[in-house]
Amino acid sequence: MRTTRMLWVLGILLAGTMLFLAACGDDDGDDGGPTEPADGAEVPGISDTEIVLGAHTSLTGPIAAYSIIPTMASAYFDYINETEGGVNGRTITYLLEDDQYSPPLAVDLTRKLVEQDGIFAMFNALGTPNHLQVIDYLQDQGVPDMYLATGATEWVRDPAARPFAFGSNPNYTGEGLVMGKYITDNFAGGKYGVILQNDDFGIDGLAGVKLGVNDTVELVGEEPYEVTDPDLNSQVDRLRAAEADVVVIFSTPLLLANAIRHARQDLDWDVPFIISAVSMNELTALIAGDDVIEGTIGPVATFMQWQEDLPGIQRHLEILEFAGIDRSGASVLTLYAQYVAEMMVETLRRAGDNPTRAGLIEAAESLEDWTCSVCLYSVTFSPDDHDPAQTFALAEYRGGRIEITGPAYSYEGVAVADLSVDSLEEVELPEGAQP
Amino acid sequence: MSIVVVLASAPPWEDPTLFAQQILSGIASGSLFAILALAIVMIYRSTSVLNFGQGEMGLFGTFIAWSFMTRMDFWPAFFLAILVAAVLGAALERFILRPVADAPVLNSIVVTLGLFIVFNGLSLWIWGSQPKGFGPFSVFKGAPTCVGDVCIGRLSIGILVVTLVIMVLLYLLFQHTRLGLALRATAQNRTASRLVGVPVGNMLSIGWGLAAAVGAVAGVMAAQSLSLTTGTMFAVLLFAFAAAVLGGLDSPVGAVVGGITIGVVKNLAGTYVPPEVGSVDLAVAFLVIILVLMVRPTGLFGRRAVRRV
Repeated sequence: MRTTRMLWVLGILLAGTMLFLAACGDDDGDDGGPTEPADGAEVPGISDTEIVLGAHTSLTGPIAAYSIIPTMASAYFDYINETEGGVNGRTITYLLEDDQYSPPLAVDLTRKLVEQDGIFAMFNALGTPNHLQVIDYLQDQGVPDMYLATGATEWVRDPAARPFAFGSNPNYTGEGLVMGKYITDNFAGGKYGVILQNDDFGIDGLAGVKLGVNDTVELVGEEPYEVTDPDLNSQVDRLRAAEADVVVIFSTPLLLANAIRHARQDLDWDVPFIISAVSMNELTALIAGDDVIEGTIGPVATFMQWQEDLPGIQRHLEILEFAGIDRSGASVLTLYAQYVAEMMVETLRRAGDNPTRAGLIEAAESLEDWTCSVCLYSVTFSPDDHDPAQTFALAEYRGGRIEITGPAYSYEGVAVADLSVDSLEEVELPEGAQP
Repeated sequence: MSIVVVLASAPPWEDPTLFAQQILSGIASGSLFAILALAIVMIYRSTSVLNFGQGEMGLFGTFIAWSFMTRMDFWPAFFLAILVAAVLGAALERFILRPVADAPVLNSIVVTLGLFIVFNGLSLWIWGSQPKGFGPFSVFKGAPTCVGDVCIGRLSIGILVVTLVIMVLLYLLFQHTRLGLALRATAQNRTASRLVGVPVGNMLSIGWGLAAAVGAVAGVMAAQSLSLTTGTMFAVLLFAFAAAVLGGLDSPVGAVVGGITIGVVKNLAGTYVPPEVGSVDLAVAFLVIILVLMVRPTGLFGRRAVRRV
């Protein structure tokens, strides 16, 4: 008797909850899409003195080494706040939430940033698998999702469907395309193999490589791995058995360094490696060792921190000093952070004295041939093109540093879906890029 | 989005070099799992606690070794770090685990999960998130040894040798010394051990101390191959647990056989199973573990515990 009554109560509670949830769902629907506040209405994250930005990013966890990126971006905003009083009279506050590269955490933290902290825009959220879980939430909430720290094509493939998302890295298919072109030009008649992280990162990259090669070279192995794998030994062994003349790797620094070390030190295999921009930095060299990484090739979009006679690099080092980061900590990653932070500041500046979210999107889409102070080439956005960094150069680890060697290619203005080897146009290296 | 299709490689009889190389590389990866599994077995054998914090304790020991190495040569730094780790392990037992020793075993396990988080956090706090350059050290550097086209690196040989040495030492300790007997007795029945005069508290501390030392060795060897960051031991820990379970949680020999089996099976599966989507090597490796445990629930070398009630 008592049990029956309990069941009734539970049933009623359950039904009530579902009704409530359904009602909330309707609310979400009404709020969705771009919203332009009426005159005088409050814009989230904007006050008379402050602009609040936020990001889910990796401060701890498996890719904690990338935490230098949000640290440096914060430092740049502090520098602008200090030296220029912020942007259009408002200082920038940048809230960082540590998702440890975990998709469920990214979801919680993004909701917190949007619903509790009331950020104006996301800026430079980091990581492909975790951002996949929040991209559509941000679109539904109408929160600008600026200059993502991931090159997956997902964000930028269809700006009409995702008007609030903007990239910052060369997209992985684009960099794969350039790698494929390089393989055709330098290994004609040869064999190549690809090791790839088995998610959008590696799969987009592999698709690009296949677009970039022609039939003078032969693909002898596609070797996927899971992010939980402790090493890539088996994958490297198979490509060696398949007699690859060159190996492309789409991986993060730790596993990538391990793979090259295995080839060089365990197998005495001196095959050339071409690696993703994700790992084309000093971290990988530090982990692998300078002698192991020597000769490895990959794309870069900025000048290098050791080119100290360039004014942009001098300013970069000054900002590091201002932030109390040791100058020896300057790297491809700190330069990348300054590129995106500068781009954000420029976008906010263009959004004017009374910034709105729609105004921010328009401002971003107005960036045309804009070049950051440490960048090799300019970027261009438009309402149909949210994918910057479509021009970049190849570089090589030489004698303990990364040297920009070229060639450099551009596919400016070509949408992800239309990319082919014919989209590539070889361009000159900018002055001062080569040592 | 394209689907990754991987063709299985040529069968072993057509390409024996690939087959042999995959086995050798599997042994090399597997011996890393094995050293950490040895530390897990060490604690289980002497205190009957499964230590989920083992990997991160080893990581902490490795960071300590790194700090020493910036000031001195490899060998003195290596042994000093092992010593520090051992003292730290014993202290952990005395001050953190002893209070929950008489509570249900679940409490101890929750404490070890806490150790996992605390040691990872401590490492991050003290040494930061940037990776540290870590070896391989001069003894493990140099040209690999090749027979035909089948090669094994000096570091891999080094890791394998260290693994086997630790295994033999632990085996001798447990089976042929009075200390080992006392450790085993403590794990099996504390009250009875106390009654026959075994200093149970000391035995528990020694067990943890030794396990922490082995964990530090595991960390130092792993870091030379995988580099030193706060994420280094995470991937290894998962496989080390699998290795310990496969081999039987109380057998040092089992831990090594288990680790190497997982390394080899994983490589062979990756090479010869034609997966339709993505990589299946991990799934196959764990399938083998499940099958073994169905036939032998105590693992390959584990002893069935019989308790009179």
